[in-house]
Amino acid sequence: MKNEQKIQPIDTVAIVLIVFLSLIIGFLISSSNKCSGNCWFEVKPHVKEFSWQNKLIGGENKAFLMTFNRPMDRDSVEKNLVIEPPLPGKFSWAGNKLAYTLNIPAPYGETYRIFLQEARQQFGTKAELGREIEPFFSQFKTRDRSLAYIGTKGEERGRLILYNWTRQIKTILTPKNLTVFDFHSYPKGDKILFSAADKSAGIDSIRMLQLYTVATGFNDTESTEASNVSQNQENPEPKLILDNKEYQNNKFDLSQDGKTIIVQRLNRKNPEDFGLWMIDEQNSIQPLKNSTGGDFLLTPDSKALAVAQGEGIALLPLKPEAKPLDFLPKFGRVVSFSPDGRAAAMVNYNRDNQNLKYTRSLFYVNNQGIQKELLNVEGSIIDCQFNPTATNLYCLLSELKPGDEYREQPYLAEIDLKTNKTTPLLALPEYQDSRISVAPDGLGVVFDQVLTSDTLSDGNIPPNDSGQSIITSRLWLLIPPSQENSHHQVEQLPFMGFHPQWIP
Amino acid sequence: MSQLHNAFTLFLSLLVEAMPFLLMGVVVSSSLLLLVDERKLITKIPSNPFLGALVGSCVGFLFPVCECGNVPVARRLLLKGVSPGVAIAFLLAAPTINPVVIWSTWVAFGDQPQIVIFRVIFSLAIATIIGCIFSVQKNTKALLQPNLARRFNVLVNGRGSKAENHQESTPLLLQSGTFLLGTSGSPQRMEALLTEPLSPVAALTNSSKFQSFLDNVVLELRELGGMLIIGSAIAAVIQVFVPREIVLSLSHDTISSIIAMMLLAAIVSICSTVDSFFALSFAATFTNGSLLAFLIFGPTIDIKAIGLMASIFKPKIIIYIFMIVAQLTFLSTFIYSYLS
Repeated sequence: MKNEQKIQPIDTVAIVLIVFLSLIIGFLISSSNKCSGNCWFEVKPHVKEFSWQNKLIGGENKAFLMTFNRPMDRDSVEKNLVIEPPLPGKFSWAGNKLAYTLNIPAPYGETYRIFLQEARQQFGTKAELGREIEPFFSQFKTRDRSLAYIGTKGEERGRLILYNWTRQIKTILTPKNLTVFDFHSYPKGDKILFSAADKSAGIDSIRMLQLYTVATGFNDTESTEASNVSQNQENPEPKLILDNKEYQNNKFDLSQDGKTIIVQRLNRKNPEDFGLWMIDEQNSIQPLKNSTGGDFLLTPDSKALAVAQGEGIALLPLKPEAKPLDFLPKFGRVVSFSPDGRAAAMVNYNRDNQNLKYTRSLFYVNNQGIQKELLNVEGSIIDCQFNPTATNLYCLLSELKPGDEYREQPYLAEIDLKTNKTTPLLALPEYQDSRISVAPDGLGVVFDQVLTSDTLSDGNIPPNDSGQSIITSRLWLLIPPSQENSHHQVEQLPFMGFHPQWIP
Repeated sequence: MSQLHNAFTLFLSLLVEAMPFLLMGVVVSSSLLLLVDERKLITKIPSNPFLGALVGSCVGFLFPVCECGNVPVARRLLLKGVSPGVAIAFLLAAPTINPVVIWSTWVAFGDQPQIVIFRVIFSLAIATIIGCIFSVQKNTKALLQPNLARRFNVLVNGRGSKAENHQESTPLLLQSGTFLLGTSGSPQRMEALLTEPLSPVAALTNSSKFQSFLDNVVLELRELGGMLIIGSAIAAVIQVFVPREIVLSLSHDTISSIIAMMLLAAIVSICSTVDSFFALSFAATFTNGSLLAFLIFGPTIDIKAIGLMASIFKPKIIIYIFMIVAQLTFLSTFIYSYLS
């Protein structure tokens, strides 16, 4: 017992250590109090990470994250965060992270500066605020606003033209010997996938299409520092993706993630061998086999394919011989998907309704199970596209003109998806197979007005849907109402071309 | 009346949360008793105090128990003759340095990996430092609570001196480890055990091994379960009379936030396997440093576990451990707060 009551080694060591640690803690606390918040060793509240720091962003970037090293007083941050030029949006918080979600996509071709100062740290539940944040400054850029189309005039005839609106530089992307028929841009606008035939094929060129990609020379990096790459590249070299030796290549589509290409192909020796083929990232091609049908469109999630089959639309996974994921018997065609993939515009041909026979109905279908009829026309639903925020639908429609001769009058309309109200915006003189493209930043809708002759296409330029030869074509821009203008405005663009498409 | 009701609810929730882990710890402890030969175990632990403490800190990886389950295992290690430095390093580190807790912290704080990393680093460092400090104490008995010290005498010192065993007048019912001492084949009467020489574990038959295992589980669970019930009751009463809001309102700068969260950790006595999710709810209003303080201090010291620790150590030893852990936690998280 005596032994146990004696001071043990642990008593000495523990007490010495407790005293020593107390002294260190006392010293640190007193020196941190003395320096009244301006010590070299004390880190102030600051922005630890900003997700768009020197980034090149596009329409797909809807929100940025700002991470702080300390809990912040949310009101003071929200009040003092400045973006120039202004980008309206909503704040949301999770711990020390602030998310700012833009109401509308940031307009392209701009450099945005972001400042935060005078925001304060918050401690627990106390109302009194802590130290002021270290002033924060950063910037980010949006991609250049650019447009691609197929030229109709002079040396541009039948060639793919890229116009960089922001820098006002026009580039001919394809060589003289190729006639471009159709094209789709890759998601970041760094490349364009196009179908083209050699001019020497002449009238047969539509059966001799090959798929190529061509670099646009910009937007090929996410960093703003490296965004000033040469825009005016001389003679960009197209890269062959798919040849036309054994199969004839018809329509094609590129997935929104840029990883998958779907091509409709026909075996030159065996016409029964007809269907969709899939090209993956490694450029390996395989037939889907389950996909006989008509018009098709890749879904925005890049995982499925909407194909018109029989009297409905089948949703097929991107796997050979896989069973359909779903079948929509009510609709005959998917016109377009919203950019976020949550909704689609579909056409019902009203085959099972005697009263509505020979009319077409445009439906809005979303992933919440809502199906609503937007309009019913006796003419055609040529093309529709959602605006970037999926609140409106821009459609190229036609109405049947009364009279003995069958004649359709095309017009451009805007449909408000909340109220279902259709506003005809512009009548187009004659039915020509126009196309519309809605700018990814919501600037406006570009469309073409094609003039044709009845002679057959000579192979220097693709024919229109009726096989007529395109003589020339004008491009128009429709600008929706904004703060400056209360009405829609239409202006002619100073280029001659057709099939205009905004680069994402 | 409603406060009593709240206290009872809190008491039951603490108990329900902790009891499975205590049971797991008791099962691990009883398995150690039967399956591990103490002589081999001791030879495998490095004799260097630092390495020994480090090994002790990392043993939690083998026994993923929370702060209730580690107590019976640490007690068993001490009774097996393992150095106090190693056993205490295990006691302090096992609730944090184990795969379940690291994973749950990662799930909660995956977007702030520095919290997960520093929780592991600081907990390991604190446990190792305290393990090293306790390795200066060669006489384990002086650390132990009197009842356990007597049992320690029987089990560890008894191997060398049978005569000393006879001098002990400990009530035999308390000597859980004495079931080991039966000769092979049949269970022994407890009174006879102390007079018998120690026999190797391997000499026991399977059925007697299993019987000893069960008996030990029941005995330890009764003993430690009682302490857990008392600890949980005290923690519940404190939580009712000192509401969380009062503790949280103490925080008005970096230093007080750390102290408030350490205090909260001790009071709420939440199990280390789920405490990250509890801490996550304070992520918006408390600094990362104070969240770390909660995550480091909570698993080592809380009111509920102090009851269990009192079943091993003398009160002054618990005070030493508590003081040094608190000071090291404060110091490490204070420096972290200022530098991050």
